[in-house]
Amino acid sequence: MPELSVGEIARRTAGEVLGDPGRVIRGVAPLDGAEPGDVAFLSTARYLGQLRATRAGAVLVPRSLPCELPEGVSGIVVDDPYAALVGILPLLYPERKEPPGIHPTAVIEEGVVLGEEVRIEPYAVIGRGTRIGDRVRIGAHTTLGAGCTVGADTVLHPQVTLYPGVEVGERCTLHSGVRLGSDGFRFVFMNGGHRKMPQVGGCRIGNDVEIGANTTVDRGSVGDTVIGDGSKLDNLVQVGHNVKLGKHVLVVAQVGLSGSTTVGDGVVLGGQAATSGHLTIGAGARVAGRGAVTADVPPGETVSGYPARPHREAMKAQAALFRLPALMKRIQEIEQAVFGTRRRGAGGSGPNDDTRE
Amino acid sequence: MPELSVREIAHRVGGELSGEGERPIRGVAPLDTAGPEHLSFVAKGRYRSYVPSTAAGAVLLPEGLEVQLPDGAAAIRVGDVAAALAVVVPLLYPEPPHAGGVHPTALIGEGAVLGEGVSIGPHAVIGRGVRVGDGVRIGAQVVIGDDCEIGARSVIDPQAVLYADVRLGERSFVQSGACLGPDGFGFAFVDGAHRKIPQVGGVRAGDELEVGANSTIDRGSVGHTVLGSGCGIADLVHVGHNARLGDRVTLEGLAGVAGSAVIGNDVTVGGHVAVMGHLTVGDGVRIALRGGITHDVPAGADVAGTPARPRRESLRVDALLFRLPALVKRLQALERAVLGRKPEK
Repeated sequence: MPELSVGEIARRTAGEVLGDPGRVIRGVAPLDGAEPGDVAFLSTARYLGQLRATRAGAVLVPRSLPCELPEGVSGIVVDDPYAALVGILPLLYPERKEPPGIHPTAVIEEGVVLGEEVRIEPYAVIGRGTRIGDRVRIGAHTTLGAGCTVGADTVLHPQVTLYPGVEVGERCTLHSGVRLGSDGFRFVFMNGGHRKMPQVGGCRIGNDVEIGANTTVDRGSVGDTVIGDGSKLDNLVQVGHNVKLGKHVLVVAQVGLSGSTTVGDGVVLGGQAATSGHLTIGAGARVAGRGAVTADVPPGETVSGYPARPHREAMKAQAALFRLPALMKRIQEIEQAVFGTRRRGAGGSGPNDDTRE
Repeated sequence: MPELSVREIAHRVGGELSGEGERPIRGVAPLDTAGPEHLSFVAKGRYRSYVPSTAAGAVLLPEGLEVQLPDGAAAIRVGDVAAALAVVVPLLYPEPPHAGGVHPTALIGEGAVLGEGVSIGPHAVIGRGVRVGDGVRIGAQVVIGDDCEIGARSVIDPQAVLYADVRLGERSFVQSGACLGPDGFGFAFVDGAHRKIPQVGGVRAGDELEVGANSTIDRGSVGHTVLGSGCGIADLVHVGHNARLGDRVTLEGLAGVAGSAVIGNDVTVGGHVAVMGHLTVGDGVRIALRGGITHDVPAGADVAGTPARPRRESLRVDALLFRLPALVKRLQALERAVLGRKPEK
């Protein structure tokens, strides 16, 4: 079981120690579940109450949030506790390294090119002519169609499907249930029925991309669907055909991207956001959770709501919406003052009573 | 094919029988397609119009519902029709016997412990140190990671995936394509890129969890994702890392619960609802279809809309929204009267 001293953690996270640097830490835990052998972390002010009651041996606290630590709890002051976890967790929880090798039940078709130290788990199927880079792990029951490419150090968890010709870069992680390169949703109404438009394009995933469980990325109809380097997609996301996602894009769970939309570098799409097809979302733009993007979004803009508008504007409109009942009453009062009570709904040049609509 | 007399059914559900009690019943069918060998039911008053023309042998009716049954159809009056169906349906449709044992193509990892009467389907892959309780059924091509625990009499349908360190209680039911324990969506932006925060927690669920097809429940980043007992999760639902669900929480189709959200006991989450991360939803809360939860919700609240508000308030505003065109006209009339000028458009 690995262990680190508080001082060692501070050194590795460029943090400052408050309290005892010699204390030994063996695990990481949330504030409310931590024991004296754990380091916990404070992410936002919301958890200050939990901080006061924590039993953790040490707590990673953000420099921006002045806080008082309970008696006997060491502090490690860092710029960003989450960033600190990136460095600390692998040391305290080393990944179990699975040996390379091809399970005898896996099916490797002809012309497949395998790199060094590849691991292929039970019942995986690798289609004809597919190229697998060094140290790739292919999980149980994962199926790769013919002519796919998977870059070095990429992990495909169990039950992933790559349709033929899909290209995946290096150091990617594809979680279970991911389907890449399935047909896009395109039909032409002809002779009284929806006729399928053949989907002959490809699907290309860059380097350092992570794709969450049961997320689907359609292949292009003509031309490719592309996901740029360093982008991260959460679970149950749907990426339509010919979408172009830039670099370092974050897509939170259950987002839907309609076909041919272009998403610039560094964009963040909040949970359950949706975009219409053929739009451009500029670099660095942010779409709030549930935002429904129906028009282009300029670079750097933050939008929310349905249809999505600049966030401040959307918030104002939302607030005003809930003042509608009061507004109705105010107008009624003015009507009474101006027309007298009897005149409501009198017609002609008088006021229109809304009940007659 | 099992059959029960109408009288026997009435007895089993504690209902009050009127009409022919000796007729044999072999199945359950909706009012409009039922025949004399079927039991039918009126779940809601809106279906009462189908009653006079039904050919069903017997009909389950809620107490107090006034309807005229056709001649020959017996009535069984009960307090709760759905609860009565839950008793009768398993009697008339017993689960088919399944081949017990471990299929020769299934792979069982080192140190895995299988209880009595476990059945494991073709090509299933069970990891190291997995503990499978008595009477558990694991379908074809299921993949279960190392050190998982599956409580007695649970059912895992074909092609479901459990990552390592997922623990399910007894009588759990996981449907096809469901994925339990993949990494949560945790990244920190360092040196110009999103760096992965290792997700080292697991999933801990109580008894009688049901997870629908293609739903995903992330593992905890640090500490576990926790689900209480008796939770029902429909299809295509997402539960983020370190979320904590109380007992008897239901999440309807396409709902999403973001990371570290805390949901109390007996909460009902409607279809396509979104709950933002780190929020607390109190016991007994009801969230209407498509609600968006952006703030903590106090216990017992009934909320709707995005951002969610008390349901009454939300419904009132929804109604007023459609009176806005008329309101604009009224304002124009006032402007004419008060300002004596043509109103602005």
